[in-house]
Amino acid sequence: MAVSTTGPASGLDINCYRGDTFERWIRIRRNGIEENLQPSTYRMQIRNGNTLIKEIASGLNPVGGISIETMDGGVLLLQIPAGYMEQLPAGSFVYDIQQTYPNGKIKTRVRGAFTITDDITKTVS
Amino acid sequence: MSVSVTFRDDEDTIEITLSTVPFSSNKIARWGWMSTSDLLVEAQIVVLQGSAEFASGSTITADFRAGNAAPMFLYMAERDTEPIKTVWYGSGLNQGLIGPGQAFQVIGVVNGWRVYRSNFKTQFSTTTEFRIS
Repeated sequence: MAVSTTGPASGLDINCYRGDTFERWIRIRRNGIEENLQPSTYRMQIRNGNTLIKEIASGLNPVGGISIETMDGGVLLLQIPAGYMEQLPAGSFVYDIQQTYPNGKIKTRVRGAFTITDDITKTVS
Repeated sequence: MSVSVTFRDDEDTIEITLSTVPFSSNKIARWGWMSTSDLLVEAQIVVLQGSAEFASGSTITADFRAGNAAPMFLYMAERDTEPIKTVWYGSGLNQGLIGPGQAFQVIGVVNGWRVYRSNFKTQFSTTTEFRIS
């Protein structure tokens, strides 16, 4: 298990495949207990330098989003449908996820590399 | 596959796990015994003598026998997202409802843990089930 002395958690790199449904689950434990994620909102951006590649945020919508699965305190589910994944460029990018608490405090919880591998089988146009 | 990273945030230790598959939906329950009847704080709950994971919504089977040679106050803590348990069962002759005035009752919720406690110092010669109904 990697350990960093201060947040956000780094090294949680994501590798995914262009054109495939993207799903990742994130669990946050505070002092060994699942943090209650329900009151907060979340926002994730994938960037190539200053260029925004993709943004998803709390709530599921057609372009993807961040939802909370009902478990102990909750688990974040990051989703981007295949139809939107195939619109993204292949390449090596970076991402992070911000958590906004009800009192307005913002914490960046996760950051890392976001690599999209180009697909071969593409939608016939 | 999952990867975890731990870091400090203010005074707390944060562990973040990123997984390519859903996490288990099992829930942990903890149980133990004490000579006093106070509501537990979270630091006490997480070091109770026994623990196990159970399928969400299922019966919780606690085993108080190892430290229960003499009567003690018996505690069980489950996540408060779980359905509340209304019946305890030791054996065919040793069972009852959970609630005020019963052998077990809920004495409070602490940081997401619902805490059950025996009303008196007691001891069991069997495992103890906490059932939804």
